Amino acid sequence: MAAQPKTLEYEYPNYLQDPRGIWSWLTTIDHKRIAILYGVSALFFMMVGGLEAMLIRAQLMVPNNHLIGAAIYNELFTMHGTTMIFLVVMPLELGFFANFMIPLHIGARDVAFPRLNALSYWVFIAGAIFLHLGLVRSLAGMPDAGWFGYANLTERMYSPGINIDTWVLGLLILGVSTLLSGLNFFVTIVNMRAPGMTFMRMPMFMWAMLVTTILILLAFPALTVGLVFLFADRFLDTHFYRVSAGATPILWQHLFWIFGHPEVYIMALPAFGIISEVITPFSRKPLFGYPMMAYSLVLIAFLSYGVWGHHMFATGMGPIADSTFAITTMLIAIPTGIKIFSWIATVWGGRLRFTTAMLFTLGFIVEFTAGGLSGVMHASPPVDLQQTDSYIVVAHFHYVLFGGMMMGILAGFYYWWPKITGRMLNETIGKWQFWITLWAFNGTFFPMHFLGVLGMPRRIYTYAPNMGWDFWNYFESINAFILGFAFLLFFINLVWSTLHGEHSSADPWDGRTLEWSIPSPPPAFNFVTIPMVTARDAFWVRKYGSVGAHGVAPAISGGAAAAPVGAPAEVHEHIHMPAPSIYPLIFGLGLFMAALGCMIWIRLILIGGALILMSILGMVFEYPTFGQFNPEALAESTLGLDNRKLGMWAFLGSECVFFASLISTYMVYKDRNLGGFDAMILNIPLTSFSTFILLTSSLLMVLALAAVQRDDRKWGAIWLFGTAFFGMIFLGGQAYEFTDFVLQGLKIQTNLFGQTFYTLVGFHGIHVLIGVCWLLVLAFTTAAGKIGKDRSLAVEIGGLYWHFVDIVWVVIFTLIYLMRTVKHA
Amino acid sequence: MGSMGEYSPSVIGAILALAGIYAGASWKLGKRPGSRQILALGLALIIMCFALTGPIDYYVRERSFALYIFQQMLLVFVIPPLILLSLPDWMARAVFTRPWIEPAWRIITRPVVAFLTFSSAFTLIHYPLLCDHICHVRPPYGDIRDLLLIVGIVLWWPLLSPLPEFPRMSYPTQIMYLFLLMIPMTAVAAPITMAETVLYMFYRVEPHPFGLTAHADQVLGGLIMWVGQGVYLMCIFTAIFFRWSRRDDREIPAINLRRAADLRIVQRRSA
Ligand code: HEM
Ligand SMILES: [Cu+2]
Repeated sequence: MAAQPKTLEYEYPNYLQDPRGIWSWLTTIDHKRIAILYGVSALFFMMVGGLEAMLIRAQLMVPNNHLIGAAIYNELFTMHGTTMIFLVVMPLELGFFANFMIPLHIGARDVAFPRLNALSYWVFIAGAIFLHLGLVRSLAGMPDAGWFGYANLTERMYSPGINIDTWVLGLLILGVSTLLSGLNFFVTIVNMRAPGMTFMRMPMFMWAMLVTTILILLAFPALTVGLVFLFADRFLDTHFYRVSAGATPILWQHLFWIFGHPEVYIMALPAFGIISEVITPFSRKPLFGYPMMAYSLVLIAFLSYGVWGHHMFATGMGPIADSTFAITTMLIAIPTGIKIFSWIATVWGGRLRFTTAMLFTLGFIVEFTAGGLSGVMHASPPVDLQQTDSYIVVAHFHYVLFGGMMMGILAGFYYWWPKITGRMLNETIGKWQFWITLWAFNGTFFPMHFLGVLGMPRRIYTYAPNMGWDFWNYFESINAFILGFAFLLFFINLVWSTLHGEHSSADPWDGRTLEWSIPSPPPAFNFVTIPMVTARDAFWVRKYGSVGAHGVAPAISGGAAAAPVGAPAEVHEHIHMPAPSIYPLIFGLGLFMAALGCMIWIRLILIGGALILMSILGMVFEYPTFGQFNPEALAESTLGLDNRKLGMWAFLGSECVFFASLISTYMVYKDRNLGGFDAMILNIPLTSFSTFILLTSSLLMVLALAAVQRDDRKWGAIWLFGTAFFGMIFLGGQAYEFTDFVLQGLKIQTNLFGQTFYTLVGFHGIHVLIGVCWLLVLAFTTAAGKIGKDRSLAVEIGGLYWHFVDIVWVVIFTLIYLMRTVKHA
Repeated sequence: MGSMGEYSPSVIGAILALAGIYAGASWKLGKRPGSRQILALGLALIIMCFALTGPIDYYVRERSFALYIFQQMLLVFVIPPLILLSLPDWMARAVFTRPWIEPAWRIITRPVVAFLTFSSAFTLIHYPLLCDHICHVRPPYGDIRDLLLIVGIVLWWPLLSPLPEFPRMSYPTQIMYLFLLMIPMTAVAAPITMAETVLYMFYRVEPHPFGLTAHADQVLGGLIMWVGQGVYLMCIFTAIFFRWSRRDDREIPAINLRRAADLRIVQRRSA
C-alpha cells in the first residue's frame, strides 16, 4: 500500500485477545465487541434474507410455477423485506459500522452508555428471533402481510394465525433496540468528542450518524404507536383499524409512513457517510464541499418528515395534499443532488486507487443515482398511480436499497475490515465480487422497470404465460442466482481472509481519520491518550501538515510525519474501563419471554417482567458509582454536561413524538366516534383534583432536589417520599376513574372513544407508575443515607422525567378533559 | 364589513405608535440605532400593515381560512424576528433589564420554556373549540393577533436576543430548536390538512373567496402552515448553518482554550 507509517508496538493486547471465552462475549460491553456481535448476526440474516430472495426468484422464474405456492410466497417476500431492512441493513450500519467507528472517529474510549449498547444488542437478538418464531410451529407461520403490514389485512379476522402476532411483537422489540442505540450514539457524538473536535471537524460519517440518530429518536415512536394499536386490535379486540367501528385503516398508513420515510433515510444516511469516508483516501483529496455535505444531510432530515404522503397517493388524499407531497418529495432531490455532485467533485482530478472499497463506492454513486431518478418519477402523483404496486417500484427501491445501501455497506466492509480484524480482505476475490455484483444486480433489477411498465404487479406468486413477462422474469432469476453467487464469494472472502489474509498495518490505506492512528485491531480502550484535534481530517494533518496536502509517502519524506497520535510513551494515565455485565443479556431474555407470554402463556409475562426488573435494578446498583458525579468524565465531555442528563433529554424528546402521536389519534378519532360513550363521561372535578396533586408533586420534587443538593439527606428523603406519595394519589384517582368507567360500561373495546382514551391516559398512567417506582427507589436509597450531594445527579435525572410526565399530563388534561365539548354535526 | 380598499385606522394608528415609541426611545436615550436596525423596523412595520389591514384583512373577514393562516405565519415567523433585529442593545436593555422584568423575562426566554410557551399557545388557538370563539371577527380576534406577536417574540428571542446579557443559543442548538419546532407545527397542520370535514364553524359558511370550497380552503390553509413554514424555517436554518460553518472555518483555534473542558485537559496533560 502507498504509505506504510511505522506501527507502534503496543504493549497492550487488542480487543479481541483479552479477555477470552464465550462468557466474555456474552457479558461484553466493549463497543467493538458488540459491533462484532451485531456484524456476525446481521451477516447471518443477510444469508437468510438472500436465500429468501433466491426462493422468490425461483418461484417467479417461469410462468404458472407451483414450486412454493402462494401462502409461502407471501411469507417469503414479507420476511425478505423485513429481514433486509431491520435485520441486515440497519444492524450493519448502526450496530456494526457506527458502533465500531463512532468512538474511533471522535477520539473516545467507548460510547456514552456501554451497557445500554450491549442491551440494545441483546434486545435486537430477541426481536430477530421473535420474528422467526412462526417457524417453530410450522412452515406456514411466518409473517405474511408485506413489510409495511397494511391494516386492516393485519387484523385478527383477516389474519387469524400467529403470523402477524410475531411480526407486531418482533418489530416492537426491534424498535426498542433501535431507539436505545440511537439515543446512545446521539449522546456519544454530541458529548464525547475529543478536545478540538468541533462539529465542523467531524468526519462526514459522524455527521451522517448524528443526523441519523436524531431521525431515529423522532421517527421510531410513531411506528411504536402504530404497532401498539395493532397489538391492541389483535390481542384486546379494540378497533383502531376497523371500519365497522368508524375507524380508518388509513391511520396505520399515516403512522407507518411518518416513521417509514425517515426510516428510508435512517438507512440511507449512514451509507452516505460510509461512502464519504471511503472516497477520500482513494482519491487522495479532502472531501469536496464539506459544509455543503453536512448541510445537505441536515436538510434531508428536515425534509424527510414532510413527505410521507408520497407512499399514499393511491389512498385518495385529494389533489391539494397530493400536490404538496409531490413538491416536498421533489425538493429532497436538491440536497441529494448536492451530495452526488460533491462526491463526483471529490473524485474529479484525484489520484484514484481502484481498490474494491473504491469500486463499490463508485458503484454506489451510479446505482443510487439511478434509483433516485426513478424515485423522482414516483413523486408525481399521476405517474405514481400507474406505477404503484407494480414491479417498477420493486426496481426503484432495490436500486436505492441494494445499489445504494448494500453497496455502501460492502464498501465499508472492504475499507474497515483491516481495522476491525487486523487482516486485509482479499482484493482479487473482492474485485471479482464487485464486477459480478455489478452485472448481476443490474441484470436482476433493471428489467423490473420493463416488467412494471408491462403491468406486472408486485407481490404475485405466479403469472400466466404469454403476457410478455416470460423472458424478463427468466432473465432476472438467472441473474439473481449469479448475484447470490457473488455474495457467496463475499462470505468466502470474509472467512478465508479473517483466518489467512494478509496482516494489516495500522494505516493500510493512508487514511485521513483518527481510527487509522491506532493499531489494527485496536486495544480495548482504543486510545492510549485521548487525541487532540486541530483540524478536519485530523490524522492526515498529523501526517502531512495540512488538510489539502497531497501526502508524500512518509517513508520518502523521512517518516517523521507518521507518528501516530498519542504515542504510549507520553503519558500513562490509568485507563479505567467499566466492567462487563450480564444484565443486558438477561434484559433481552426477559423481554423475549414477556412477548412470548402474550402469545402462548400469560404467566410468562410475569416471569419476563421480573427478569427485566431484576436486570434494571442490577444495572443501576452494579457499579458503586451509581448516580455519582464523575468530574473526570464531566471535564472531558464536550458540552460540560453529564452524559446521563443529556441522554434523559434526548429520551424525553423522543417521548414527545410518542405522546403527540397518541394525542393526534385521539383527536382524529374523537369525531369519528359512532356514538355511545364520549368525552362527556369524563369526571372533571375529580381529575382537576388529581391534576392539582400531580402539579404539587412537581413542586415537592424541586424541593427534594434542592435538599439533596444541599446534602440534606433527611429532608431529601422526606420530599422524595412526598413526591412519590402524591404520585400514588394521582394513580389512585386514575384507578378510581377507570374502574368507574368500566362499571358504567365503557371498556377499551366499547368504541373509538374508549380505546383512544384508555390507551392515551393509560400510557401516561404507566409513565407515572414507572416514575413512582423510580421515586420510591430514590427515596429509600436517600433515607438509607446513600444519596447525598455527590449523587444528586440521580435525583436530578429522576426529576427531569417526573416533570416531563407532569407536563404531558397538563397537555392531556387541557385537550382531553377541559376542552371536551366537541362533536360537530 | 369594509371593502378591500379600507385600511382600518386603529391598526394603522397602533403601527404608527410603535414607530413613535421606537423613535421616542432613541431620542430619550440619546442614541441612534444603526441603519440596518432602522431598516429592519421599517420592514417589520410595513409587513405588519400588509398583514393586518387591506386585502389580507378583508379576505380574512370574508372567511378565507388560508389567508387567516398566512396572516398568522407573518405574525409569528416574520415580524417578530424583524422586530428583534431592529432593537439596539441599549434600547432593549432599558426595557428588559428592569428589576421587575428581568427575572421573569429570563425564565420565559429560556429555550425550553420559550419553546413550550409558543407551542402551547399555537396549538391552543387552533383547537376548533377555542378557534370557534376567536377566529370570528368578534373582539378577541384582535387580541389574538397581539398574542401571536408576543409569543412570536418569545419564540425568537433565544435565537435573536439583542442583548449580550441574554446570550443567544449556540448555532447547533439554534438549528435543533428550529428542527424541533416542526413537531408542534406538524402536529397542528397535518390534522387540519388531512381532515375530511371543515373543522371550524366560522369557515363552514359559504361562499368563500377565490371560488374555493370551504374544505379546499382549509386544506390550503393547512398546507401554508405546514409546507410554507417548513420551507421558511429551512431557509432560516440554512443561513444559520452556513454562518456556523464559516465561523468554525475562520476561527479554527487548535484547541479552544476558552472552552473549559479543553483547558482542563491541557492543564492535566502538562501537569
Ligand atoms: C439478492 C438480492 C435481492 C433480490 C434478488 C431481491 C428480490 C426481491 C423481489 C423479487 C422482491 C419482490 C417480491 C414481490 O413483490 O413479490 C423483493 C422485495 C423486497 N426487497 Fe428485495 N431482493 C434483494 C435484495 C434486497 C435488499 C438488499 C433489500 C434491502 C436492503 C431488499 C429489500 C426489499 C424490500 C423492502 C422488499 C419489499 C417487500 C414487500 O413487498 O413487503 N431486497 N426483493
Ligand atoms: Cu418515502
